[in-house]
Amino acid sequence: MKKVILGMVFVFASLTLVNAENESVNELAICGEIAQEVFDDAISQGESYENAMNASEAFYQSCRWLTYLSDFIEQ
Amino acid sequence: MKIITLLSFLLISITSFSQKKNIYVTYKKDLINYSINNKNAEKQEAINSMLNDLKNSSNSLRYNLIINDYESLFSFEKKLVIDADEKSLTFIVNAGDSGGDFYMNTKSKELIRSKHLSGETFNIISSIDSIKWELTNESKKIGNFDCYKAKTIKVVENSKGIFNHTVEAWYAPEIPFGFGPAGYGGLPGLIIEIQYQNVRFFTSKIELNTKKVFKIVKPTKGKEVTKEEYNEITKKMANDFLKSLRK
Repeated sequence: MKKVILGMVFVFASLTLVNAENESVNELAICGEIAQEVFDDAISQGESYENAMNASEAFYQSCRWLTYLSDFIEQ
Repeated sequence: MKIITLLSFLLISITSFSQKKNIYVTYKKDLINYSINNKNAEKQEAINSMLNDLKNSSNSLRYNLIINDYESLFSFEKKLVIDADEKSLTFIVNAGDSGGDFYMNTKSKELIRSKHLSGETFNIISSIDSIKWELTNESKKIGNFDCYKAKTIKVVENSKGIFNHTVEAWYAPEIPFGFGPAGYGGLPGLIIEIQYQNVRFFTSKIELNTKKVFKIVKPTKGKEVTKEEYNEITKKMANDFLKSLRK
């Protein structure tokens, strides 16, 4: 019985970890998408490469920070 | 005796006339009508929220323009504590291509933007004469000064084409020093307010004949590049950054 419970706990813990990892990979990808789209939009509006890159980096960092915060609150 | 008195008077007059004028101007910056568009509603909401935070932080930015007769130096006041992370601060400080130190010399017509980027300092060399102003008769009072409007075009070239952005400056002939913020100058008076793309600089304090002690040093340390070369450098850096996101 002990072995079954231990096995179930192990499976549950593994699934949670895999899920969390997938979620953070997914969120990372979304932040990357936002950064790329912010860059493209800035270029379309006639911004210099420097300004478009600065905007993109700022939004990427803010997105990562917000993701980290929401993960922290959920925990 | 009379001759000595007269000579002394002349000497004092010449000394005070030749004494350098020190002017200290503080500018504030607004991000106006800054928008980033995204087709996805959820992403747009997130972007708007982040953008609002950035706009709020931009209200506390201060830039200083120091003038010493025929030279000036414009730079961001780094000592201020701004509630923003490093990347956000870089974005709002640089918005409108106003990051770095701008050195102007009305005698030699030199205009140098000294910019630190990815561990390297670049001195972007151009000339005050490259700014072609159209002076207008339109005037308005800003603070105590009668200001006149002047217009020019800021050209930006990127992968989407060549963009001509209108620049509107308000200058005060009462302060006959042809300087201003973010490398704009060459007008018959100090630029009190300037607006282009999505930024607006406006003076918050003008100290004529200030007692503040400062020295204007022409930037020499760093790699000298033209505007076009700098554009190519930043294009490569931007591509590298975007590639790193895809890994």
